[in-house]
Amino acid sequence: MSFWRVAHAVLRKDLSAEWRRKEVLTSIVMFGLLTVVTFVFAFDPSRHAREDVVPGCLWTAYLFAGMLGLSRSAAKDSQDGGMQALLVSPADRGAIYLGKLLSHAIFMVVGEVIVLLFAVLWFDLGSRQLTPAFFAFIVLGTLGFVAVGTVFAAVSQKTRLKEVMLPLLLLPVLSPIVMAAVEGTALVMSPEGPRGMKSWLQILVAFDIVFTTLGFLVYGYVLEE
Amino acid sequence: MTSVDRFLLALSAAGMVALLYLIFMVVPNEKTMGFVQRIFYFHVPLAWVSFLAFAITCWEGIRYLATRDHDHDRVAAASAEVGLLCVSLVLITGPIWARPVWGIWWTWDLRLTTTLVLWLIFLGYAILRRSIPEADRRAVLSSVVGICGFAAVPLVYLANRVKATQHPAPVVGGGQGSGLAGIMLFTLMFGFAVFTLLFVMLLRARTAVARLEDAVEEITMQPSGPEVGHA
Repeated sequence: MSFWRVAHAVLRKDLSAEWRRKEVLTSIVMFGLLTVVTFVFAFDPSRHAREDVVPGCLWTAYLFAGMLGLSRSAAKDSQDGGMQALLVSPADRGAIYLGKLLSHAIFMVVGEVIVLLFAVLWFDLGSRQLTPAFFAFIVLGTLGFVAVGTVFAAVSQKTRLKEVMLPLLLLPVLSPIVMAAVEGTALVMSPEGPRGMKSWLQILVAFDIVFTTLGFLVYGYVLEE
Repeated sequence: MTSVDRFLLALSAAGMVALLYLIFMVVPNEKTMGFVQRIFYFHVPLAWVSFLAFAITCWEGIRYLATRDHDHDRVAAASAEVGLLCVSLVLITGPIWARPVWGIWWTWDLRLTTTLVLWLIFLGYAILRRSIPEADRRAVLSSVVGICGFAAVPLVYLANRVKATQHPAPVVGGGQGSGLAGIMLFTLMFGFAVFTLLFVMLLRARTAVARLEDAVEEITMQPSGPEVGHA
């Protein structure tokens, strides 16, 4: 099978498994919403400017919900022996990574959009805030998140600590994504306009390129161990 | 201990004594910061050594994945351990200096945040190693995490650079108005040399211990090996 067909097959397998069970997406959406609500209780948003609270609140929710989703997905792969079967086949490891990366990215973006719909209601967001740049930050930030997250979730599954290991490894490495996504989104939402946004976008793009390439190269080693 | 190790030990011990003499007896007090500025001669070389250590962890991780020779993994692990010790010391000496000079223990600026993230990344690396009992698996997974962790450091630095910075600009080669008086510069350079030497010595010693640990494990895991655990 060619590279792209393997990636496509892995993606389709993940999507149809998720369609039947809806485990990953449910955990992402529920945990994301609960994080936003907890944030509202902790930092009363009526007392702060919207652009000071909403970006941090959204991205914290996305990160923590995303980690839960990644753990769930990686655990499912190792429990049911699906990954074992995939490894027996002569499938290209890079293609498996690409398929996994895309399926994780799709779960994340769908979950993020659902959480965002609630945020639109709760924080009164409109077309002033939800510009193409806003969504560019979501897509680029999510890509960076899943590029590292897919690798580290597979790593964590193979340790004794399992899903507890994931945030310990992932959060420090993701700190550039967190900073760039939160600061960039805040600039998009600020009344002064999105000045200085470009350097944050550049950092996100650089992160995405570096870690997608690295993940592509090392994922096979992790799987085969 | 090989003769090289003994030589390194003697050299770094003598160097450290000379360095302490330079720092506390020879170098003059800095004009505005006073006596506390002397911690800078420990702080900066330690920061350099910790970056060197994590670069070695990344490099040896790559070499392990390419060759599957466990010795590369031992060097990577030893380097990360010594590096973690050095970053911890950087994060301790920094606030001791910052409190009297800046008036605060900590600030979220470029270099401080980058160093803290570096510390967290390799703390994760150390916890990862302890949570995988199988040697092969531990070597592969920690190589992967070591490589990714080190690759993140420049990006952490860049992300932090976009924000304003409060940390003193590099005093050596930091543009106009920077620079050290002769003896201060010499002491700093001497500090770099001594701490690098100390690092090499510790790295070799820790790697040797790791080799022994692995050898012991191999012997005790053999079915005909000595039985352990009798009460």
